[in-house]
Amino acid sequence: MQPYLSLLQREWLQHRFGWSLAAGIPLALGLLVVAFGSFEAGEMPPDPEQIRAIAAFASIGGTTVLLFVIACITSLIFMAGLARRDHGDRSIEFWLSLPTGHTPSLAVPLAVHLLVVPAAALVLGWLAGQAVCLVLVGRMGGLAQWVALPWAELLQATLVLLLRFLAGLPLAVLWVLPLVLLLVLMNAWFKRWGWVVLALAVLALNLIDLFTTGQRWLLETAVQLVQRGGLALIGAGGSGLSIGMGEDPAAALGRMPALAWQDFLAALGGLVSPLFAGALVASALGFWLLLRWRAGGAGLSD
Amino acid sequence: MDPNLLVEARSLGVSYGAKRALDGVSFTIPRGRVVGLLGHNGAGKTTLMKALVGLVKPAQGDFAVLGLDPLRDRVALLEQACYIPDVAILPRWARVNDLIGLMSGLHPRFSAERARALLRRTSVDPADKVKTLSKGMVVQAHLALVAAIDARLMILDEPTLGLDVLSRKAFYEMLIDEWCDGERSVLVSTHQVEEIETLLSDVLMLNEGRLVLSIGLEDMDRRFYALAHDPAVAEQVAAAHPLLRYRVGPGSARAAALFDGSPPASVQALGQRVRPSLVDLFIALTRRPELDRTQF
Amino acid sequence: MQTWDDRQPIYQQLADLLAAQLLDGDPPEGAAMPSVRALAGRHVLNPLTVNRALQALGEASLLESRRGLGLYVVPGARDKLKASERERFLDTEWPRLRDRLKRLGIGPEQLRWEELT
Repeated sequence: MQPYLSLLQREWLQHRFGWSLAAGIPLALGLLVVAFGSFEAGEMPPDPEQIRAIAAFASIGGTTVLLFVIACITSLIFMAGLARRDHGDRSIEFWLSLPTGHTPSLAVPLAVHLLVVPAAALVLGWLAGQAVCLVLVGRMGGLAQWVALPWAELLQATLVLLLRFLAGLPLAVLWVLPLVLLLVLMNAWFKRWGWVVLALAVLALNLIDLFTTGQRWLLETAVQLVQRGGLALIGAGGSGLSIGMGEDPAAALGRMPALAWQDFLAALGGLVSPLFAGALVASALGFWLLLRWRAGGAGLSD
Repeated sequence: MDPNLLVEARSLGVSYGAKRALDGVSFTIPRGRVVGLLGHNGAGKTTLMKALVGLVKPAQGDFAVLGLDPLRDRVALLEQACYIPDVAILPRWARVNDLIGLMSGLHPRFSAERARALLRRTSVDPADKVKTLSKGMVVQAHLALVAAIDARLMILDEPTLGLDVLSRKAFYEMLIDEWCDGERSVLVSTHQVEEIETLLSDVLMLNEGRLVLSIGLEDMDRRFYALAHDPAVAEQVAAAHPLLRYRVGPGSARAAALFDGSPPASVQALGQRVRPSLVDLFIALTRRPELDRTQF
Repeated sequence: MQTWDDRQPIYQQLADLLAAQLLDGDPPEGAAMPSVRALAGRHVLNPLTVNRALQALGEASLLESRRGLGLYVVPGARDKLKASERERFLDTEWPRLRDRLKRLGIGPEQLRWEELT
């Protein structure tokens, strides 16, 4: 247990500054934009109360999604360098000299950057979204209007959105994990040339595919994985998670919990598929290859 | 497995591709010893040390460190054996305090109190970030952290590289105070042979991947015969085929020759016996054949 | 750091050094010798070497081991040391010195014997 806690602590100590910047700067900018920017109103319902409700929902939901997307991007960029992050200052030899198994040493950063960070970004985004909502609605009609928002439905809907994302996150990660691990392995084996090797390999395999079966199944599989991952996160019900024109916002918001729940069940159902099973096997293989690489000296003699 | 032996190696062989880094290396390290590992650059010292902690996989031979296989039982071994590679390798983004906290959680035999006590003897402040420290200070900090581990075997690859004289002295004192208790053993590789010679109890000499000498220092004094003599009798001494001929004494006024075993009595009478220095023995056993010309 | 010469094994040189210190009363008779670790640290030597030196002093009956307490200077050690040093001087060093005095033609009047007593 203790090694895991310390490994988690290490991630926090090493990256807290970067994470704070990655979250803080967009948030600060967003708040400034919301506080001082001007908006173009597209087709808006005439009722100011409705406008405010929509604005509240959009700001809370929007901030949540914004921070989530930022977290995903930073995590992905980080994954591309994970294998060799300690090679620059040679501290990899320090970590390798500690009696920590290879499995926890690799699994913890993967879990932190793929699960913990995006999840934390979702929660932080939701909380920050409250501030953005306050500023936005406050600008539109003053503090009283902010208080007068349909809070019951608003909270319920946005919390449900949050929970849907949180619940879908592990599923989405499992879908795209083979691709992420491939990225990590390329960096481990080929250092900076990982990208080049990957591109060449994909190109070569696709050409072989085209000539033999007339189809690009490799690329399509990868795309499929990403799509299914996205669906697992927030699925076909996505279109339902919006407030239609002329609709009473409160009613629309009230619909959402049920929709989100259905969506989640659909995502769970989507796991029962040969593609998902294949993804799990590929992930296991990828992780095992990473373990072998680290046990073989983590590419130090390269 | 003899409980008195911390390390047992038999015919160890390591290859990096076509290059043979270690070849047929066999030795033992009993407990309570300070073993010096000597060799030129590229002789295989680092490879040997890395093999002992499972960072390098040997192609041949078998060996046990603390009774464990370094590759299979890596985690169990690293709890009791400690390895510091040759350069200052602490993570640059961390504060020394952070590292104390992390090591407390990651190493069951690490004592944070001891680490702090040892750090107080250095010029390193625990709140410092590693990237702000000079190389010598990083080495001091790393040594303090490692000394706080209650390990049975310490493996140090050039631990005094980059340290000034005072820091080196402090390191040797720490080595004696903290690690020479008769139970632990230390394996040290270093270029500063003269400084460390008096601290060693045994020596391993590597030359181009092969072990040319594995001996206790007392046995070394008995086995090798250094003869200090007048330069006038140099010819006669040379005729007895010494390992090495060199100059000693103030102003290098006297000549000396090093023999493996006692030379014939007639040669012994030509001078006086002196203690063979480790440096001279090292030069004698590891120089390249093409340099084998008279030292005069 | 201390340099040791190449004439004798280091443990012997350390034993001689410690004996010279004993002669000067450091540590005094009946007092404890510094620990092996302390001596090893002071002279930057392997404790095994220090042990051998102390062993040699023990064999010369200058130190005794008190169970559980360590090594102590034997009462009368200074006299023993003085006696053996005296013998060594009179047997080896003095004859050489006397020959030198003869060669240089230095007589007793130039030596200031009064300062000896």
